Amino acid sequence: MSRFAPISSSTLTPSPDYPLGHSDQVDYEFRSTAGLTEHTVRQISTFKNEPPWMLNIRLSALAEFNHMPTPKWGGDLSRIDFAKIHYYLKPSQQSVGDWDKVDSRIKKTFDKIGVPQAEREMLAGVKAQFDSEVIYSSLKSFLAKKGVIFLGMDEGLRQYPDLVRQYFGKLVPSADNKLAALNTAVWSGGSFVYIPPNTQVDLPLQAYFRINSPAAGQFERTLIIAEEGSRVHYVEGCSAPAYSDGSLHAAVVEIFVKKGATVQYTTVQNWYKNVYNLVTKRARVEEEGHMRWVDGNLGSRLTMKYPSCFLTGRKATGETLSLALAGSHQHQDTGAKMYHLAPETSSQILAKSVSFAGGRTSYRGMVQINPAAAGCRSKVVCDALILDPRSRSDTYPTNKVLNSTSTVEHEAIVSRVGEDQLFYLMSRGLTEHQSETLIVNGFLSPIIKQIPLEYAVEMNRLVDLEMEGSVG
Amino acid sequence: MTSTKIIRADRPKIYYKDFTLLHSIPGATKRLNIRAIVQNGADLHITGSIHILPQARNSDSFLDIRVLILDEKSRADIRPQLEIQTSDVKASHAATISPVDPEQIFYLQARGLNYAQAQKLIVAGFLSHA
Amino acid sequence: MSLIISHLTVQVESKILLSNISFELKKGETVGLMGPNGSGKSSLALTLMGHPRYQITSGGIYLDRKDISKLPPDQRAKLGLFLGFQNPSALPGVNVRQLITSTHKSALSIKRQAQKLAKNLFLEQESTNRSLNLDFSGGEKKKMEVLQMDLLNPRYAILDEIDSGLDLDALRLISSSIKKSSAGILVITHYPRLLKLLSPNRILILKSGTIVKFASSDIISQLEKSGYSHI
Repeated sequence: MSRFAPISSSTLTPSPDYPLGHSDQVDYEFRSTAGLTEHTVRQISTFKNEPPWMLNIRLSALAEFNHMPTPKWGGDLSRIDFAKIHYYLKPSQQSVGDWDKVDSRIKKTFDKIGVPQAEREMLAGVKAQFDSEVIYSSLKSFLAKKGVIFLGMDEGLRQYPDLVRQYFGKLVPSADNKLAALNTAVWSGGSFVYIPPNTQVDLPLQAYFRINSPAAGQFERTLIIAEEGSRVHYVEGCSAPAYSDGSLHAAVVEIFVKKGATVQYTTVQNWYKNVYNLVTKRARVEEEGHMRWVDGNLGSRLTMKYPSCFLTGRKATGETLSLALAGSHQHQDTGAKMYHLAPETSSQILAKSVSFAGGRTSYRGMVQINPAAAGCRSKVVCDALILDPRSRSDTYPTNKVLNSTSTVEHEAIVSRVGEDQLFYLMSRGLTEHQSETLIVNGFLSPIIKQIPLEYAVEMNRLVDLEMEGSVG
Repeated sequence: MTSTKIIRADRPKIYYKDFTLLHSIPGATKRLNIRAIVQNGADLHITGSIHILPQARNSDSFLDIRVLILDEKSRADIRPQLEIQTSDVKASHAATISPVDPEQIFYLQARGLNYAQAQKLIVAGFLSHA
Repeated sequence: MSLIISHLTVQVESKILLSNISFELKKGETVGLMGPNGSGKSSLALTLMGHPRYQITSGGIYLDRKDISKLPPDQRAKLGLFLGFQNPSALPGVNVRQLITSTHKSALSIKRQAQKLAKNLFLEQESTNRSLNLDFSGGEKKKMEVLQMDLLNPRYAILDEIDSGLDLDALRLISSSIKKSSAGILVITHYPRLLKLLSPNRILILKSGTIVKFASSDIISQLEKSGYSHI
């Protein structure tokens, strides 16, 4: 829940008001100069006191980044000027803004979804931090008893360098794609989660609770390790519209699901409409492991995100439930990828999108069944609702079967809200807007059902609000 | 307008087949059924697109691609695509890639056919049933 | 207190479907509307509810003296008009409780009421949780229309072929729901069975878009014997 405008002063001395009181931690307020240079990357690593191997990873990623061209497929990235971006920002500890100056649309949304006042100010970038110390401490002791590690990524690297080194970049190497290289070079913040063998965490872990790294995640790096037989549900994001100073978000999430483990990763993203949200999310699923991505995309100017599973062990399963809403001047280019590398694995993709007021949704997906992956099954369903003639929807799936014992099924339906359906609901007293909203929420409901209740309720109200505006 | 395309990819080489249902004027109904079998080391690539332009209101379009992979060395890469630029449409596609159903083979074997005969019959039925 | 249809002429595109229709439905009374296929019965029902495809070229519709002929369907519903559809729309992901709760405050009392009504209509308990009209049998869809009528408690209800797809037991259940209601009810059907159970005050016969006869319930047995050709 901690996405907000990181505005900082440019001093380089530690702030006396830093509230966390972790004695082994030294944090400075710092804002790098614009542009991505070796100097910037070194500065970041130095300020975080990182081990030399991490600096080396960052530097070679920088070299990769400079090497690779910007992708020409997917959304339009031509307007991103990498030279103008500030790659490291630390939030100030003081109030930095004025509630009155906050966009009235944002205020209206907070009202609508019932966000408490203190949180509103934090979310809107007015106050740098809110006091969740009490919640956080009790969560920490609850988890510590089980041996669960849940820290900010910076902190995780500091406290468990060997563990991080074992896994960092193994699923998404910097050479994977340009945005992954960027993230690897300048990453900051994100979560580090480790679940010991046969440990079930019943409470969804939320990024919200990571009090010690509340910085707005432009380049967050998250690493989740679920040992054999363990179970965890991680929730990221926030459905309140999140303003961001930085207009480029390139995050990387790597998840290791070991034998028989179960992981669900839920994202509800509603970045403000100036943001490019380009994310690489990948899970490796070992024998009889289960991975489920639930991906809710409401905001941003352009999102490119395809949560993927590499099914490397027998009977592993992967699932992606993707929801995308695109209104005026928005393009959601989203989907999923499933790679079947072992026998008897199965995957499922359910993607639902709604485009309106000139918005565009594109489903991009890949299902690949390798020669050695005998007896696998995959099912893909992508449904799109286009609400008006100005809007657009595309589907670009690829289905590759490289053996003769597996089955892949794929279906896609594009439709609009039927006049008869609208009339039926209006005949029951709903206005046209209420009817359309109810139908859209009903259309999205198979996915919203998989999102924790508080978020689900907010999501429904948000869909309502997004559609009411229908203005850019 | 309904049409069916039969593809027999039965030699050890790469086959590329592209199909497009383009809607550029309003009110058209188009259906395309593609039935393909892949065997003897063939590598079949199919791209099937439905493209509905902004002015093509009241379009109705359906693309159905079904592929049977008959032996170990053969493979398929199937890309059904949709680009829909207006809301007043019905557009859908379905794509299935599968091996011959072993239950069907067993049923025919129980009726006295050997494997090869059974497969031949199933394939013939598959290709004619659009 | 009545629903008055006055000299109503209706067309779709340029085809005239109804000519000079006039009748009155009083609150509390039950009126039957019968006629052969294609006579315009459903067109009349959809026009009264305000379906955009049907254009009123002359005449008017007055609900409790208020002219509703230019109002959108939701406002007619709020004034107390209900339509039981001949072909109720399927609504994926939307169950009947969510639908009714959109316009009513108390979700919990709707839930209880809906479950009770479902039970009385011999609908499975689960049906009030399922996507409305999606993969429902014909009879289940019609029962759901009656359930909604009971929940919404309208002043005037038009039931378009509420009896199609129902067996005798279901027919009896629906007929008792209708009898219990205090609304003015227009029962549209081409089968006499339901009307025999309801004993309506009057029967209207529609043929080729006009009302050709106003009769009492006695006409039902005549229709059973010799159909519409003699009227």
